[in-house]
Amino acid sequence: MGYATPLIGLSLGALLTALGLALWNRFRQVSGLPPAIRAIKWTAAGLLLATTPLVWIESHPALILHLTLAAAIATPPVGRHHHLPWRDAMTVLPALALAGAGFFLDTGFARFEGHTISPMSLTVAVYGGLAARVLGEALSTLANPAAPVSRLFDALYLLLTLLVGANALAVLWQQGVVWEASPGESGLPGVWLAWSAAWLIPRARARLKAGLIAVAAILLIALALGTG
Amino acid sequence: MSTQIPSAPRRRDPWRTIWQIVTSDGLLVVLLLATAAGLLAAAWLPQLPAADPAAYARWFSETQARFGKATQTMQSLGLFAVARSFGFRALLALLASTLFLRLVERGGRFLSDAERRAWSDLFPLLAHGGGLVLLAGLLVTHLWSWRVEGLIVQSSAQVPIPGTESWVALEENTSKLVHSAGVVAHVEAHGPGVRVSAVDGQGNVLTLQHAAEPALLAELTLALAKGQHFAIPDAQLIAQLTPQAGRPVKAQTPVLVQVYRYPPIQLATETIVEGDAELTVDDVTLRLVSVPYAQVTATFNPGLWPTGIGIVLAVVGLAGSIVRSVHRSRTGEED
Repeated sequence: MGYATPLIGLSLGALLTALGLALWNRFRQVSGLPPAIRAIKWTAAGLLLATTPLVWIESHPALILHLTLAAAIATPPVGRHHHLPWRDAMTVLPALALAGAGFFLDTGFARFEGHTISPMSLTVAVYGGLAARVLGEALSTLANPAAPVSRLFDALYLLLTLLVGANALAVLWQQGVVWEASPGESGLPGVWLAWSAAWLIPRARARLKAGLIAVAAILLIALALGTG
Repeated sequence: MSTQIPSAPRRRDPWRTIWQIVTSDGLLVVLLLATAAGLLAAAWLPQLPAADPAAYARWFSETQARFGKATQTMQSLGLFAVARSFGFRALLALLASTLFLRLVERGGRFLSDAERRAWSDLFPLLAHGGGLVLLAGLLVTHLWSWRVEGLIVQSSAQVPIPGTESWVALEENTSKLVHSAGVVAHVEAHGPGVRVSAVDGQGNVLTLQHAAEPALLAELTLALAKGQHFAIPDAQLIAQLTPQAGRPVKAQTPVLVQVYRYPPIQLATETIVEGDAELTVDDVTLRLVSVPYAQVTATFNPGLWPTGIGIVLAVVGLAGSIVRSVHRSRTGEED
C-alpha cells in the first residue's frame, strides 16, 4: 500500500466529518459551524487533489483514478455562500460516495478489472466530477425547492453538448459513420439525451427538474466510472 | 337597465389540442428519455454482431453465460439488437416528426412576429433543424452505406473491396492509406508481414506454394496476423512463420521462422527474424523482406455530409439556446 490509500481514507474521514457537522447544523443551527464545514470541505478537496497524481504514479487501477479525480472535483464548496437547510449535507453526499467507493475498492474489498487510461476517459471522469456537483445541488433542491439554483447544470450541459458533438464529428471523419462504427460508445450520446430532456423542463417545476437532473447526473457519473 | 347575455361556450378545437400536444416540450422530453434509454441499453448490454456465424456463436455463448435463463426473454424483447429493433426505429421516426412540427411552429412564430424578433431566437430553430438534418443523415447512412471490415493491405498493391468497385492500398514507402473516391478507410491494426522468395545454389528461382492457394508462385506476400506456412516443392522444404506470442502484435513484431525437410518431416532450422533476413537451408536461400500489413475497415457513406452538417447545426443551435436561456433568466432575476 502506497501513500494514496491513506490519503483517500483521510479525505473520506474529512467528508464524513463535514456531513456530520452539516446534519448537526441542520437540526441545531450552531453559529460558527458553516465556516467550519466549508474549511473541512476545502481540506478534503485538497487531500483528494493531492492524491490523484499519486494514484497515477503508484499505478492503481484506472477506476480508482477516476473515482479520486471525480471526488476531488465534486468536493470544493465554490460559489455563493448559501448555508441553507440541507444544502451543506446534500452537496457532500456525492463526493462522499465517490471517495468512499474509491477507498473501499482500493483496499481490496472487491476485485475488478481495470481499463487503460486515455485522454477521453480522463475527460469523462472530469465531467463525472462536475456531474457529482450537479447531483448534490439537485438533491439540495429536492429537499428544499425554494433554494436558489446555480448555473452549474446549464454550464455542464453546454460542455457536454460540445464534447458529444466534437466526439461525433471526430468519429464521423475518421471512420465514415457515427453509429455502427462504435456501438459500445452509444452511452455518451444516451446520457446527453437524458441531460437534454432535463434541460427542457421549465425552472418553475423545480422538483421535477431536480429529479430528472439527479437521474441524468447519476447516469453521467456511472458512464465516467464505467470507462475506468 | 341592460342585461348581459352569456356568451356561448367556446368549442374546443381537437386539432389545436393535438397540435399543442405534438409541439409541446413534454412530448419531446418523453421521446428524448425513451431514446436515451435505448442508447444506454445498447451501450451496456452486449449487442448482436453483424452477420458472421463465428462471431454470433461466440457472442451467444458469452451472453448466455452472463444472463443465464433471462437470455431468451431479453432477446425476444429486442434488448440485444436495440438499433435494429422496430421500436427504436419508430421512436426515431416520432422524434424526427416532433422536431419537424416544432420547427414549423417556431419558424412560423419567428417569421410572423417581426416586432419582437431577435437574432438569438434563431438558435432554437438551428437546434431543431440540425437535429432533423442529423436524423436524415442517419437514415441515408442506414439505407445506402456499406462497411467492410478485416481487409488486409500490404504494400502499394490495390486491394479490391469485395462486392464493390472500390479499392484500398498503402502508399509506396509510407504507411498512409489511399483509396478510391467516396470511401473512408481507417486502419484497425498493424502487423508484421513478409515477401518471400527462394533461390537454389545456382541462383535459379524456386517456386513456392502457399497452403491457401494451389498455384506455384515465384514470390509470396504473407500477412502474419497468425502463423502461415508454405512449401518449396522443388527443394522438399516447408517453412512456417509465426509472429512472436506474448506481446501486442505490431508492424515490427519479431517472427519465428521454422524450416522443415520432408519426407519425413524434420526440423532443419529455426530462427527469429526482425525486419529483412536471409536464411540458408541445405543449398536453398530463403529471402524474407519485411512488408508490414494494415488491417483496414472501409466504409462508403452517402449520408456522411448531412450527418456532419446536422451535428454542427445542432451543436451551434443548442449552445446558443443554452447561453440565451441563462442570459434571460439572469436578466429576469436582476429585474
